[in-house]
Amino acid sequence: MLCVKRGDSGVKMSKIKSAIITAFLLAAIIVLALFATVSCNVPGSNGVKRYNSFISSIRLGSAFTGEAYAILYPEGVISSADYDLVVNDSENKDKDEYPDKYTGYGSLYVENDKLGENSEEFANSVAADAKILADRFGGLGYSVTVEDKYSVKLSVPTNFTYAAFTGKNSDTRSSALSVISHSVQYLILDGALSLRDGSDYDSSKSILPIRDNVSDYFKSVSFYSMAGQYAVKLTLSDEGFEKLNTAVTSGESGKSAYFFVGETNLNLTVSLGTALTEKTMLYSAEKSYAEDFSILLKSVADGNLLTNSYNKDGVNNATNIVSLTPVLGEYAAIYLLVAMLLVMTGAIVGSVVKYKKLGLVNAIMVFIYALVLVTSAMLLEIEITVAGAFMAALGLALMCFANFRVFEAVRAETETGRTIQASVKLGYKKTLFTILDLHAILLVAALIVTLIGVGEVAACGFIFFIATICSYVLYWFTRFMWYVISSPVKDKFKFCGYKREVLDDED
Amino acid sequence: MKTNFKLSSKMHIFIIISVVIIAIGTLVGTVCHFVAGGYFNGGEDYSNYKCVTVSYEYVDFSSQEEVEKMCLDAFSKAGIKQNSVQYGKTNTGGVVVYKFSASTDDTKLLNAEMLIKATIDDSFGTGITLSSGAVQNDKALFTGIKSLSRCAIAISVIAAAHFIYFLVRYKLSMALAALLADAHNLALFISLITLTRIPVGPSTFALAVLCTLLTVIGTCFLFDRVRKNIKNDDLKKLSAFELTDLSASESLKVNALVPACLAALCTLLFILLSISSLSPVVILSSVLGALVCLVSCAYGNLMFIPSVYSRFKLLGDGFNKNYARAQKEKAKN
Repeated sequence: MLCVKRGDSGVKMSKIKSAIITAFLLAAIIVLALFATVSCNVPGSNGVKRYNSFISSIRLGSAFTGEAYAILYPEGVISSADYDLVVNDSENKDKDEYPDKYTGYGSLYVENDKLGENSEEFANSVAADAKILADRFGGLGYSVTVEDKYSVKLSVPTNFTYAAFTGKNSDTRSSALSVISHSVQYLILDGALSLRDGSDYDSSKSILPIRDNVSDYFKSVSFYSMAGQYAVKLTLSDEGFEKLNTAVTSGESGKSAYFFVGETNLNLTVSLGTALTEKTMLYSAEKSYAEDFSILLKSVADGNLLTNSYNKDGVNNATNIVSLTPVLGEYAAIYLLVAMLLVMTGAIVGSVVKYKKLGLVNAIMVFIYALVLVTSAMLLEIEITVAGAFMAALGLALMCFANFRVFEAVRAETETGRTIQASVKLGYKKTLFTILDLHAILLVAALIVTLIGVGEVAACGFIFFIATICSYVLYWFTRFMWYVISSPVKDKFKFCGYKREVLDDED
Repeated sequence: MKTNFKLSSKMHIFIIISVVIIAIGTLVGTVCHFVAGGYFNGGEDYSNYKCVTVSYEYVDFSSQEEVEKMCLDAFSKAGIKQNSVQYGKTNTGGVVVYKFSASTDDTKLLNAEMLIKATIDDSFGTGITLSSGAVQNDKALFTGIKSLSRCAIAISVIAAAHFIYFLVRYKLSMALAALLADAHNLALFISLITLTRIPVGPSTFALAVLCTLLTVIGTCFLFDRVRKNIKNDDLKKLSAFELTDLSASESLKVNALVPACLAALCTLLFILLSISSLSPVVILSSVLGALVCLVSCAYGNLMFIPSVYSRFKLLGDGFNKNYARAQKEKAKN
């Protein structure tokens, strides 16, 4: 006689309970998926206000949204474009002077006086300035290059969101460009640090002894951030505190002194006539302003002063920020999305083919994984690049393989003649340490990459960190949903795509 | 998926393959360092280049297409071809930037520039300006070195954490094999990048990290099988070679499928982004770099590490046996 050998039986969930939980979960996924993917005009706003989906609010790398650049010309150097504008303008009074005054060099024209007898000296001073500028801009993700020996190019990924890139969110786009513009405006300042008794350079005088190097007054300059508040933090040395106090208390009460770099007022003030009480001075500002000022002041306080003045002499156009289209094309982000959707489809189809309805449980996890990653990338402002997409795909593979491994372990248990419930229990027990070890070491690795790496590498580490956590949580959530969805099903073996093992009880 | 591959007995072949690739890669890199200007082939982001920038005002040019057509005609007549083209926007107009390799002939570039200028004078008059020149790209010096050093530190720390974790959770022989796997796969990846002269860009650093993560995943699956098989009463009687071969064949599926899935994604991205950019060249280096990374990891995890680990296990088992015998004799005496 043949019969099915049964193990311990689990607690059964009622059909209604199972249907309610499944319906709630699916509804939540559908609603979240709609918010994540569909952008539209807000009803009733006459097309003025627009809702941008989660996906279109994710910051993208330069390969998808391009980069912005600005060219810095030192005093005595102009672009060939500016040269041509004057020379080809018949009404310009400098028209005849220019050919004698300048010598062409690649895309530039350099004043003969600047080149002098030793043109290398001038080129070296530009190269030295480029290193200082690279130091200042490096922390903000800019790259600095020397073009044609006598000009410096600053480039930075715009990191627009897709909505900003396509002009659907013009506020974000213009604010991103104005942040770049502000950084370029202030971080290229030349000249030393001074504290003056007025806001205008020409009509004010330094309140500190001219022989003193104001940079020596500071122990450190840093960017301070806490609970959404940002500030420039200046810490005075003992000597600096004493000297500054003397200068400040001897000033006219009720007036303020201003910090200048070169001839530019930074609008960071010290009240005159009142003694300083602490060695630390905090100036709160918007994040980008506080960042720029702290970088500039630190660089100047460290004695890294630019030799040349850039874009100042009026013969060049004002510092022009040019935003370039991405190298991969304007629709590269769309193609990346298509590729990721195809990967998701592959994972879903593969699991359904192999595990039938149990594969659908894995498909739900794939959807949840994708939604969590998209939402995290949007909320945490993680920059998505091609490498980042790879990390997200690796995380998806990790989650699917963790689930497939447990499905296989359960299948192996059912082949010994156990019931599904008993097999699930044993299968999860047997794969527990494999999955835990794998996720634990990967989580540590991802954290290390996030904390130590810079730029794209750090972003990749962060994506994988979230992906690993998500994978482990969903591994357990799979068990819950497996139980919920399969509870009302009569033939659980068929549900899972397993073959029922029939044992001869005469044994 | 179980196979009958006798990986353990082929250790010498795998070691020879790895050593030869790493040695040739190092040699090529060293020669290129002195002859071709760098150990690695710096990509567009890390190498010098020449460029022609055409700026125009919207008042005179409603679209960039006519500017582009004029420039492409001039480049074609001058016999030069740009590596990439980017379009930009300013407050008052647009910019088209054509980038050429640093080795582009200056005379040809100048001819192209003159042709464009002549066309501007003949057809347009004003509203367009042209500049061209060489770019001394110091990105490698400024940002590249920082990224490289931080990436190297991160990978070293991961390898150390990998070793410690395996030492605690698995066995010393497995921890040593894991450490060797990290070093081997990364060295193989770097050597293949050097050997094939695939242009190195910022994404290469991320690929190095991906290589390490794939190694961690591969070793986790392999040594988990070994750990389980050792605990099995029947299997623990097997020799070190047989046990390792069995474990390697049991973990073959997952260790082959993960790189295979990523390789499929890589190919998919290559096709789609080539369509997007209308030029496969732009994305080719990143895709080739990723494929090299996946091949290095697949080879290391599937073949090299199981074969080398079998020797580590043999040594470990021998040491344990001798130690147990010594302890027994000590107890007897």
